[in-house]
Amino acid sequence: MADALGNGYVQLGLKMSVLLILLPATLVLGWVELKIGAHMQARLGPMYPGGFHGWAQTLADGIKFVLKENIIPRNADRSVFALVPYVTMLGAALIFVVIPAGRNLVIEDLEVGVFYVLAASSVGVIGILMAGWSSANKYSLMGALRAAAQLIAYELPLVLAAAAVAMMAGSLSLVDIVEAQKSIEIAGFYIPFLPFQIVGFIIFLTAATAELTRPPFDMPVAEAELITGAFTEYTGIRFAFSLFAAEYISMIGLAAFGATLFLGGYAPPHSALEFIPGIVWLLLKTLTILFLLIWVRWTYPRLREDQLQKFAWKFLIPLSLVNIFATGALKLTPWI
Amino acid sequence: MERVGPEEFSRRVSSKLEDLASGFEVQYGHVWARVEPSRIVDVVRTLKTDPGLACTYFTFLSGVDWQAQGFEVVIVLYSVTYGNTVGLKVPVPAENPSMPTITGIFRSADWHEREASEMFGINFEGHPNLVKLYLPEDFIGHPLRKDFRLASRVFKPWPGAKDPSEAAGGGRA
Amino acid sequence: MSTLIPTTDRWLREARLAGDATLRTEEMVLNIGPQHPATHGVLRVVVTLDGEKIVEGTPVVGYMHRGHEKLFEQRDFRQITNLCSRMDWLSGLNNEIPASIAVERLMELEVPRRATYLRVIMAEINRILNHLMFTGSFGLELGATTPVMYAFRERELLQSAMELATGGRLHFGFIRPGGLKEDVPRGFVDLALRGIRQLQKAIPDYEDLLMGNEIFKARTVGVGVLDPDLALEYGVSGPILRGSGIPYDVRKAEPYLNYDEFDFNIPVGTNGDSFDRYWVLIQEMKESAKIVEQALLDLPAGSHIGQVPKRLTIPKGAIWAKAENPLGELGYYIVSDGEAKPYRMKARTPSFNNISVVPHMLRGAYVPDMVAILGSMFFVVGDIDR
Repeated sequence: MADALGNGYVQLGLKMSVLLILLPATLVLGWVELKIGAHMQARLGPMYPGGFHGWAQTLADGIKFVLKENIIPRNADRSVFALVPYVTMLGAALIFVVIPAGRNLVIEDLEVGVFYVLAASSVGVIGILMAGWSSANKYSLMGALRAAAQLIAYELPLVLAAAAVAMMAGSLSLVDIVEAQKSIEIAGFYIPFLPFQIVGFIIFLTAATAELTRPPFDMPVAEAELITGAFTEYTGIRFAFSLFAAEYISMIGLAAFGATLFLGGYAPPHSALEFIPGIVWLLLKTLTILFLLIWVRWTYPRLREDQLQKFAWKFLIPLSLVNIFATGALKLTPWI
Repeated sequence: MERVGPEEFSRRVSSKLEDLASGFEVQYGHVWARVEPSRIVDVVRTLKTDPGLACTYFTFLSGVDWQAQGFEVVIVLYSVTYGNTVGLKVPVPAENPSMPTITGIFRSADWHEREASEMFGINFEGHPNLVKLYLPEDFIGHPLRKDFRLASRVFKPWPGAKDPSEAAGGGRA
Repeated sequence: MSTLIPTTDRWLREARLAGDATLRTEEMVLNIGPQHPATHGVLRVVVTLDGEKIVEGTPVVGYMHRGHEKLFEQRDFRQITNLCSRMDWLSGLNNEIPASIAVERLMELEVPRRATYLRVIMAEINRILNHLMFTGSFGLELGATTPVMYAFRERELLQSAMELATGGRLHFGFIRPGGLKEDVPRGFVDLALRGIRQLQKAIPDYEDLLMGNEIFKARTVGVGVLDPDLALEYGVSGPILRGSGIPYDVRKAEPYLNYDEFDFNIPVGTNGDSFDRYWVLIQEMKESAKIVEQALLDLPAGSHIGQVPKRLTIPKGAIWAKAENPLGELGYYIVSDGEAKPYRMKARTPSFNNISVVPHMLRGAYVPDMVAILGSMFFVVGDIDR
């Protein structure tokens, strides 16, 4: 196994497959969200397409999106309008470059991995801004401005939460962060950073939800007010890519990132379970975070933009600064 | 809240509005009075502000087309304090129907007067924005007037044997 | 549209030409509706925005005007009750009641006790159905997708009970002057009781799900405060007026049918904000459930319709009859000239007055608040436009 992984071509193939998996993964995640949401709401959700519990529902949706007419409004800025799906998708997909699925199973183990992910994840907002401006629609413009304001408010707590983890590990490389979590070992159990960074984890989840513009922080797309905000004018495959695919890919990306930072990434929970490939553990941990995100989505109403800003600047950022200090203090205590 | 019987309330209304209105009567537990258009603003103000009447609740304003006898504007107010309804009937001439607006006293009369104006063609003098409420800007005619025939009947008579408007004997659709 | 959103270049150039080095801001006019999820129906609100703040918001109505009042003049009184149910399509049965009461008072018809009881039962079930719809959709407008699903779950049994009795799920057409179209079938009482019991069990869940939620409170407490005096001046009625602290309910103020024989309370809010209106709605469901329970357990035997002549000829005269619709005070002013159809029939619908006060509430609110305000004004566009 280890030899095969060392082979350059096999590695390249594996790296490429990560990107190829992403689109089907959005379909699966979309279906999972439909089913979880349905069961939380005392419904069944899709039951017919594909036979077994409507597994092909999102696939059918995808085909429907492809077949739909692709409309560009007459007054839209055509080139910018058409570029949006690529930008939002790219920003989302770039995250996966540095997420390690094993000690060597990573596309690029960047020295600044943490900040690379944070930078890549905010590229999507540029796409939203482009969509809002180019659509020549007031609702889109308002949605885009909300998204931009939200990004500024939430990037900071996200960075600070990740910084605390980087302090714990003493490195910005995601592989090093996972290895650092593997080094904390009690009776064979690998202890991830979660117990030490529980505050940071909550800040990370909150900020990630805001960054993903998912409820309760979905003001930029608020369908009851702004009618999916920046993407009001998008139709067909462009709509599917710029809204759904981008949202689900960055959701998976940020969840995998969170799993790497706080839950030990590809590290198994116990040294005896090393024989199971790291990618399985990463997947399980990612799914746990995804479930949390989905759970929150189907539970809470939407905040107001100014309330969100207040929450971010007056509560979350001070809290994450305190968390940084606490982490520093933890690092200085001799028994760690 | 102190409840007052309609007869007692009618006595109060008639004593307060003696020289402003006439024809006081109690029908189905509601007090009714006739008011000349020139007096309507004073009457409504008295009804609203007088502590013994306190008709602060604006129920509705609408019209009735009595054809040759002109129009009748109906205003219904309610006193939440005393639990009584006061209805006012304002006769308005058929030619150039017009009466003063009461939006100065009840701002809510705004929409009601606009509706009555477009439906009956009654002019409410002094209304701040007497444009059409429901109908499109370029609509011609006043639909609730009796000489305005139901549009579907103009194009096609009722297909059944028994058009209720004919069967009733009057045939005044 | 290009004039509405100036490109950056032109904007800058204009600013320079005006001798103003700084960028200027301007107010934006935004059309919310007539096709917009927050206006459920075809209400249009023209708002002038300063950023996200509403400077001025004006509802524009009439997209669903169907000329009910003209149609009333073409129908006889038996047909009119069916026409009435189309005004507020969420509470069809409640719309029929005052129309038939007006005719009964004019003709001095006697309504049998069983019919009166059944009218109360069905009117209150219809009120619960309506309130469930609005509690659910209010959550939906604030972004909470779950309450509406729960509400529809509880609606189903009650809806089936109504369907069993009337054959309709939305427009029941069950009230006739003098009584009811027909007696309720076997099983109605049990089914309705089951529905009520299920609802009573579920209401605490609704309260926990939204009213205990911090985000929900942040979005609704202090938002869209309606001053009680303003509410009275505008003739606002129903849960909205009671949310502002005025205990005016036609069922208590001027009892019709036999509401005076039942034991129920009028829930009254204190602050008049969106939260209080929602709270009143939930409490009213409890009270309605109480009434239905009492009436079902006490349902007298007898005929479902009184002595009604074959042809309804109404004596000359005029009458103003009102009832408590789920959304507020619904009344009809009927002028009869002694024929089978009314000479004039004015429908005073609650949503019309309720929505006319909205400009006062929108001023100074944010765009998301507008959704909370409109959602808590509980209107049906068919009821505004008639």
